[in-house]
Amino acid sequence: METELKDIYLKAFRTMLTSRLFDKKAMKLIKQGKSFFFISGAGHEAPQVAFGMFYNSKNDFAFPYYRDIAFNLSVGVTPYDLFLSLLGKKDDYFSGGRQLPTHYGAKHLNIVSQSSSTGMQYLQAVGVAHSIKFKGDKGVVYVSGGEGSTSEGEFFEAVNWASREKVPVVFVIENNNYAISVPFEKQGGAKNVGLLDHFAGYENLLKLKCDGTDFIESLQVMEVAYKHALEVGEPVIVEANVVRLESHSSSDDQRKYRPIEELYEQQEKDPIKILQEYLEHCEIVTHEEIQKIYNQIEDEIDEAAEKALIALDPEPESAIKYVFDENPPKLNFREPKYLSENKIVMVDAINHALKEELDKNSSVLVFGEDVEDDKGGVFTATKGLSTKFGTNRVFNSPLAEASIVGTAIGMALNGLKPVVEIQFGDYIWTAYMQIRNELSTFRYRSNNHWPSPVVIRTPVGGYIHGGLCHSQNIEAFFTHIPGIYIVYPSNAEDAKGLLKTAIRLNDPVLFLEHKGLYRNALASTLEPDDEYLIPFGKAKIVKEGSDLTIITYGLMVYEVIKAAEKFINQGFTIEIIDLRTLVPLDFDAIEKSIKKTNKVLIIHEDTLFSGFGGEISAQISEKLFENLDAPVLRVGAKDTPIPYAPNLENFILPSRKDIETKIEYLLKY
Amino acid sequence: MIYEIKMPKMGESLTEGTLIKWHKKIGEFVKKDEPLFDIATDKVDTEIPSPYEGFLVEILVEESKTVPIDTVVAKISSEQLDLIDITQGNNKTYDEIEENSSQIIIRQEEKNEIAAIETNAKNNNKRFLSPLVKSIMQKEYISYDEIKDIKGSGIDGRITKNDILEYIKNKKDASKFDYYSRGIEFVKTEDLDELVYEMDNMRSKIAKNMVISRDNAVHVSEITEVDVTDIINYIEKNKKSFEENYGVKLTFTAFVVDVVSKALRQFPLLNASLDGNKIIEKKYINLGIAIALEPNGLAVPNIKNADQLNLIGLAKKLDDIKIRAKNKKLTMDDFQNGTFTITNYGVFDTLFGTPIINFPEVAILGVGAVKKRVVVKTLNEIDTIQIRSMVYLSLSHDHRLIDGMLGGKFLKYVKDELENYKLNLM
Repeated sequence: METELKDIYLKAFRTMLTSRLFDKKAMKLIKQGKSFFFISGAGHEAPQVAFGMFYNSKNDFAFPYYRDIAFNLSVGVTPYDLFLSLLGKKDDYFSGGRQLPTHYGAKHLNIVSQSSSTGMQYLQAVGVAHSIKFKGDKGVVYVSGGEGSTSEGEFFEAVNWASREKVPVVFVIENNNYAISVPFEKQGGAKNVGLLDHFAGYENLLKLKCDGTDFIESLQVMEVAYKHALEVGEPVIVEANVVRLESHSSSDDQRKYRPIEELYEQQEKDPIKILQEYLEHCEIVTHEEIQKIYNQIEDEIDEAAEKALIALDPEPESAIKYVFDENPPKLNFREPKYLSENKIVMVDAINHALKEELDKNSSVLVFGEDVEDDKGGVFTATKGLSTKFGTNRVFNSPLAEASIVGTAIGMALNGLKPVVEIQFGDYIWTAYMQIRNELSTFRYRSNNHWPSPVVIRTPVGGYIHGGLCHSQNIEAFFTHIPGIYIVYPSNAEDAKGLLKTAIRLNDPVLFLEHKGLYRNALASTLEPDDEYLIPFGKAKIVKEGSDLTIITYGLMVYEVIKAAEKFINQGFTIEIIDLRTLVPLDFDAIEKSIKKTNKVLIIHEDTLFSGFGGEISAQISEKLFENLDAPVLRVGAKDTPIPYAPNLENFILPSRKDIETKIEYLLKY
Repeated sequence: MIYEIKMPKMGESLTEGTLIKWHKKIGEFVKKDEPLFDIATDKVDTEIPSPYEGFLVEILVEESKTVPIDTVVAKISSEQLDLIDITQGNNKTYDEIEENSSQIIIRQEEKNEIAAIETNAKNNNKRFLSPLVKSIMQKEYISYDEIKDIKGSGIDGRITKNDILEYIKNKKDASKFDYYSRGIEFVKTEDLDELVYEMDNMRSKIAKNMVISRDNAVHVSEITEVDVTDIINYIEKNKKSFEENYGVKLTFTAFVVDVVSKALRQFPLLNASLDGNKIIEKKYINLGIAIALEPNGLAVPNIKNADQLNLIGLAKKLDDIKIRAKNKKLTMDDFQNGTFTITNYGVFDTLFGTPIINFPEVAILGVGAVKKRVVVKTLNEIDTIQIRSMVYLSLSHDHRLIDGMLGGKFLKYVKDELENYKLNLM
């Protein structure tokens, strides 16, 4: 046997054994109360180390799932690094002690920060692969997962997108036959076919299978997989059949649900045992030498653990850092210069903002459902853009919202600036997992190493006879999430200035556009220039007054202006605040106004119960109690879905009369 | 027999009078010459003694109403009458019943009015005040009692921001005339370099209180000299450990407060007030402490039940009110029901003063600066010259109640207690 190959085998053996002994030590530390959670990789080591042999941390990216201890060790993570994470220490570079153990991430090795929501990583990996192809780079994205996670719709979406776009990603499915306690045959309805058979129709997808307990076979298959992705630039899926030697996690006991015979039988399939026997059989190494290697690694592991145990803990105050970018780009905020004397409608202002930013920054990509010409978006917000910038940069996505956000995250992780469209806010919910658990946590969970600055635009709002699923206001679901900015403009000028700022920041932004304002003359303004940016967290005083403050945003701004007119004519003065951004909230503006008027009315189109107005009201009560000369009142939609028939819809959504009644009450109070 | 009571003519030129207060309620028995009501006229304000004996059966003029001289303001009956409501199943007219004259009549509208007044009074007690109105009141030192008669312009008579601001403005205007310049108008004859501006509320309140005190209490001051060397040495020696142990500074004032609380137990008349000819001896000792506020103000919060606190407790209380006074965090409660006041102008290096009583209290103790002086002490029947820490204490008291003897005894007691203070608190 060639020396080179012997060295590779021996190196692999050492890595696999290190992984296994780390595993054992980790469980010991948990039983000693030094850590609280661990997921074993025992039985999974071979395919991980096999792929790690080819991984190039300069050009490739990795999304190793929680059983991938051996993969991490094979590409440069050390046992000490693993212990720092296990013990939640300050110098843990996976997350700085923020994430559960076994959630990997190393910027210097291009290992992307992983979350617990298994299955979500596939779309992000495809997004990175898409960005590699877009940039013309040469690299491969490794993404692994258990067979259980393939039941998530996002897995199918990811394979679908990768095949459609032909991008260099390798999906490695480590099939140990158990998703915690549920065996593979109980996961789905397709009987007597393997995982790969599900993708029979995907011609661009290379489908490979290996015995993941056999390192030699795994190495051969992974070589094919890696080289195909790298050289051909197309996706590969590998199903590696492995064994799960330990329980699902430190919180689980597999003896409670797996047959005892099976547990004994699988000991024979222990990949380390198999490789050891092979090495001894080929006389690459003697049994005594193996024993020596074992003792040596065990000492190294103990030493690393001791060192990590006395390492510094993170400072408690550090826990509030990196929700958002703490060093945002210095943007030049100034007064607008107007391009002409003609007004433009809000949807055109949005279109122009996209066009200008696509023009100024080649990293900007725009995609979503129906955004390409000649349709140019169902509301024409993207009209003309694919014609001008090509379908590489402006393109249609499949009809899959999780795909849109998931791949956008991946692209952003690799330095692109995706500005995606969700066709209606009412359909954003399939992407909610990607937004809640992934997009808005990336910077935080990676301790500032992996920002994911995606801009999501979506039309919202009612009064257009759109029924239950074309009328929703969705802001309250998102303002509750730490780590994502929420913008809600009320006119063309603000929409343009705010969208351009959103695209230039390094944080995720949800940009809400009211359908009723797209072509509304009330929201039309002169068009500001291409460098006009509006800072986030600066509300606009639409009207000054001293008898009452009204806080609102979006379409409601105009209802409020009209309702207030009646009382202004009677001699009252009413201050109207258009928040423009809900996160960050300009509480300074609210405070300044209430200290003057001492009365406040909060108005939004969304339903009242747990609505965003509740948050504003709570903050006012907490911070301005002694400045209140009247109760804090709100106007919002009734707590129902939004019905279709105009008279039903009008009954549910806030009316001018509702607003007038509350204004009158507060003025008299 | 029914007697009519009329608005009296209290001066040759008078044509009308204002009924200020009724001392009796309808149905109540009144003796001849017993105070029946108070009136105010342009010339005099006075109590009117009842010209007859009997039961007050009708009140025709409400409080604070002004009526012409000779208007019948009330009726008194020589016999006790039953109370009958003419709206309740009695068909007789008011006149008939009056002629019959064996019953007290309350006309329906009067009854409504009384009910309305009662409801109002009830509502006023539990009257809702918005957080803003409350915070304005606190800043301006306005009590709940003070505003209970304001009629609010908000929904259901709520006192709005504008109502309370208006009230404060009017009050300032009123106090300017009554208490600051006493009606003397300053006529500006030439353009002099003068700065003219409104008093703030605190200043006008101080001005008002000073005038009230001067006009009511008969001030007299007595001064004694106290040797406080032992206390001063003790403070010097223990100030560090005291602050470490209790978190506040040990001050000379704390000792004075302690001794004065004890003295007030010994001399309860100095812890009293006068209400006309009545002496109100207070069983609680709430010691007021005058606190100077920059740039030109004064607050006198009091330490409640000061006699129940030891020196440590007093030091803490003193520190607490001082800090809250500086931060404007004192509440109405801090000012209410004071019984005696201590003012320490010694902090400004003043030797002694003649302080003005914090009316309706009857005495105030002024504390001067502690100075080292050469004094003659007799040791073993030999006169010696010693350097001692000395302080002058001034007691101003209301001579209507407290004469020189009581004032002197009180001062002597305080002096003896301070000079022989048991210094063993650590």
